[in-house]
This record gives sequence, structure tokens and C-alpha cells, in this order.
Amino acid sequence: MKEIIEKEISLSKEVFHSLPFNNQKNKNKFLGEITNEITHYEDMLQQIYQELENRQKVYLNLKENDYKEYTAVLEQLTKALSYTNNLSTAYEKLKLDKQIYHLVHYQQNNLSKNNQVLKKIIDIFEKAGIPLRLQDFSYTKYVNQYMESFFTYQYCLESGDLEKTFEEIYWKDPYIILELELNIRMLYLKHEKKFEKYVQQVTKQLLSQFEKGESNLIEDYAYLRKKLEQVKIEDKNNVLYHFVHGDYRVEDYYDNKMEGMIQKYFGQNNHNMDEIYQTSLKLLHTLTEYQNYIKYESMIDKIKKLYQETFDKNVIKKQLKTIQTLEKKLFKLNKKSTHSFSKTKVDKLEPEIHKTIQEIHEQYKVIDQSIIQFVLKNHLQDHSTLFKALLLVQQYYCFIADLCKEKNEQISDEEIMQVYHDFTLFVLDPNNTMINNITIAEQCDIKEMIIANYRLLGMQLSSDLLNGSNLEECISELNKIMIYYQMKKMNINIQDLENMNKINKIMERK
Amino acid sequence: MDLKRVKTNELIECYDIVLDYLKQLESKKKEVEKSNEGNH
Repeated sequence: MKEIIEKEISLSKEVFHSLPFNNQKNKNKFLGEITNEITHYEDMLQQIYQELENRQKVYLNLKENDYKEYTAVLEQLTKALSYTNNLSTAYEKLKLDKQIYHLVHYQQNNLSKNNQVLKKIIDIFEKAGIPLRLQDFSYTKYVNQYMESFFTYQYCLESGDLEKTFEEIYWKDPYIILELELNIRMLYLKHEKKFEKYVQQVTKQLLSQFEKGESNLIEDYAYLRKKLEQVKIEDKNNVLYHFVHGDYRVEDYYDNKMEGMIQKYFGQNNHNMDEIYQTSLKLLHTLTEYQNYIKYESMIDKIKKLYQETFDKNVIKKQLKTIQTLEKKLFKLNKKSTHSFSKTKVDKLEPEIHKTIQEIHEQYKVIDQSIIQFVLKNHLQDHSTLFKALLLVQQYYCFIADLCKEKNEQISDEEIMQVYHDFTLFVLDPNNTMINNITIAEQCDIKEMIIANYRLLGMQLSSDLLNGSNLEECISELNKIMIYYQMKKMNINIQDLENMNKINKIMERK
Repeated sequence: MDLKRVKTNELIECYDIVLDYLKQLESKKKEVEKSNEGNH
């Protein structure tokens, strides 16, 4: 076709070259002819464009697979793993710790989010068979006032009246959120047994979904994560999708480029592609684990430090007892304040009430700071693996959130949730090997372990290769080797992808 | 011409060739139109 068009154009050029336009008549004739010719080539161009567009539709209609059927089960398994272990209480398992953390941290800037969190907390109580009413919120008169308004507007939390009530109360009592927090924590402790029972019920329901039950949860999870990884790698649809959307660049996958990359890791010897794929996958798992280890190294160091420090195991019990005593005192003061008609007497009681609340708050602060150390000391021994230690802290959202805030004060709650999600994925990654074998009391150079291990497999890794941006580059290159292998296996033609890119450019220009 | 039977890379080349020639034609047309305006 190209030849035919070129010939036609050459002929057309000759015709227009010979056409005279020396006078008005000839010029008009020339313009008539050239206008017809333009129309002819415009039609031709449109036909070609249409055909190119049709061919591109195959790519443009690609939808990314989200593997929801896998992720939904994995989420259930993660929940079941958290519910069945004895590393945390119902407070953490039902995510009340997370909601309360958000309630306290949203306080400065977002009333709307605060109300949503409050609603979530009330829903958690409700699900556990503890419907909360106004009379449950009697920690202070301000808490009661706000909750009265909250219950009125609970189905329209964006109400301006609710906001107005909050603002009015906030002027009188800037500690309203803290008081709400303490009230909820008190309610949790009051109904703790009911919550534990509810967790048992949910656990039973969760386990009924998995044939082999509790003992096989980790294996089921590992099997499914590995299966999902394989499905993702072998998904031709998604490989093409990523090329179409520019996540993968065609020019990165030219044979000469990829051969150079393979030689960089596997040397000049003629390895077969299957061998290269298997070793790349193994190395990729190792390096990803190492990269995550570095990412969470400060957390690991903190866990080790807390585990080694001496600790009074009765501290939490003592604090809870003090809280009970202080709360009794608070309720007496509240009663006096409510029943008093003398303005002066009420005013006298206010500082005492406030002081008691601050004291209760201090006790809870000690509990929050000690809880991780308490569970580490209770559940770990010197021979416990790093995996167990990380699995344990993964149960405690606030511990991870506090570490995030320590590193970056400006971090948003959404970012913390993402860190928590990524951390969970890392801890439960079935391809981890090092954290499953290193004990909490052990000091070892992981980088040297990796280099020595892969030397045995005939791969030359240097210490430099595993540093910072080099490590990232190395992981990215190994991923490319894996994709390249799959492209060969799936018969994905690089020329087709190049054409697809060119058509994309044509379509963008139009 | 049955475009369906033409290979994609060839079709892209054809698109570029036709587009290029169209531009030449349009520029030539403008040139003549301009000289025509000058005569009026």
C-alpha cells in the first residue's frame, strides 16, 4: 500500500508542478484542482485514521484486573489471623484503638471527621450488642451536652446546628474531645467481657469460611498470596494495560537492552530463560524483604530495645486501678456540680473536675506507652523470631501511628493508614525468609547474609548494589527481567507495542 | 484499498506520508491564494 500511495503522490506532484498559474484563469483552475486533491487526500487520511483507531480499540478497551476475588479473601484471612491470635485484646481487634487515635488526632482541624469517627465507635459498640444511649455519656456535663446534640443529628452529621453546639461547648470546655475519649475508654472497660465474647463470635463466623480452620490460616494466607502473585505476573491483560498506560515503557524492553541487563546479573554464560526467571524471582523476593527491613529498621530497633529493657509487669493493672478510683471521684464531683444551684459552688468545682480529668488522662498515657512493652515481655522470648515480634506490633495501630508521627509530624491520617496497610502486607508476606529465621535477640548483618547466600547460587552481588537508590534500581531491573520473560512466553510482540504507541501519538495530535 | 489487510506499521507510515503531502498541498494552495489576492 505504501508503494501505491507513494506512486500516486509522486504523480500528483508532477501534475501540480506542470500546471501553470501565470494568469488569473490558470490560477483559478489550479486552485480548483488543488482543492479537489486536498479533499481526496483528506478522505484517504480519514480512512487510514479510522482503521488505526479500530486497531487501537483493542488496547484502549483494556481494563485493569483488580483481582478482587483474591484480595477480598486475603482481607478476611488477615482479619481471621488477627482475631485468632492472643497477642491483642478486643480493643485492638475491633479497631477501637484506631478509631480513638483518630478521634484525638482529628481534633484540631476537622469536626466532620471527628463526628464520623464517633459514629464508627458507636457502631462498633452496637455490633457487639452494646447500644449506647445519651446516659452512657456522662463523663462531664459538656460531654453529655454534646452527645445530646450528636444523637439528635446522628443521621445528618454535617448539620450546621451540630457544629454550632460543638463550637459553643468548645469555648467553655476546650478539653471536650479528651473527655469524649476518656468516656469511651471507660465504656469499653465497663463492657470488656461482652466485647471479648463478641470477638469470639466473629472469630467463629470467620473461621467457618475456611475449611481447615484456625490451624491452617497462615498456610491458607500464604498459598493465596503466592497464587495472587503468580496470577498477576502471568496476566497478559495487565501487562498490556501497563504498556498502554505508560507504566511500562516499550523502549525499556528492547532485546539488546534486556540482554545487557540479564548479563549484568547472570554473567556471560548462556543461561536458559526459565532458570533466569526463577533466580530473578527468588532474588526479587529477597531484595524486597531487605528493602522492607530497612524501611522498618527504626521500628525493629525500638522493639528490640523495649524487649530488652526492664519493665514492671504490673504497671497496667496499677494504672487501671488508679483510673477507677479517679473516675469514682470525678462522678462524685459531677453529681455535686449538677445538684448545686449556687453559681459560686459550681465554679469552685470546675477546676477540681478538670484536674481529675487530667490525672485520669495521665494514667491512660502511661498505659498507652507501656502496652507494647507489656505484650512484648509477655509474649516474646529470646528465641522468638522477628516475624513474631512484628506480627505482635502489627496488632497495635497506635504504636505504628506514633512511630510515623515521630518520623514525620506532618503525616496525615490517611498516610498513616497506608503505612499500616503496607506494614501488614510486609509482615504477612509468605516470601519472607530472613525475618522468619532471625531471632529478636540476634544481631546480624543482613546485607552480608544476602551477598553470601547468592554467591552460592553463582550470582555476584556487591555491597554497593544493595545501597539506597542502587537497591531500588536493582529491584526495578529484576522486575523488568520478569516482565520480559513473561512477554516472550505470552508472545507479546514489541513491534506491536511500538505501533500502539505511535498510534497513540497520532490520536493525541488529532 | 482494503486497509484491513495492511500491516499496522505500514499503515502508520502511510498515514505519515499522506499527512505530509496534505500539508504540502495546503501550503501550495495558500501560496497561490495569496498571489491571487495580490492581483485583485
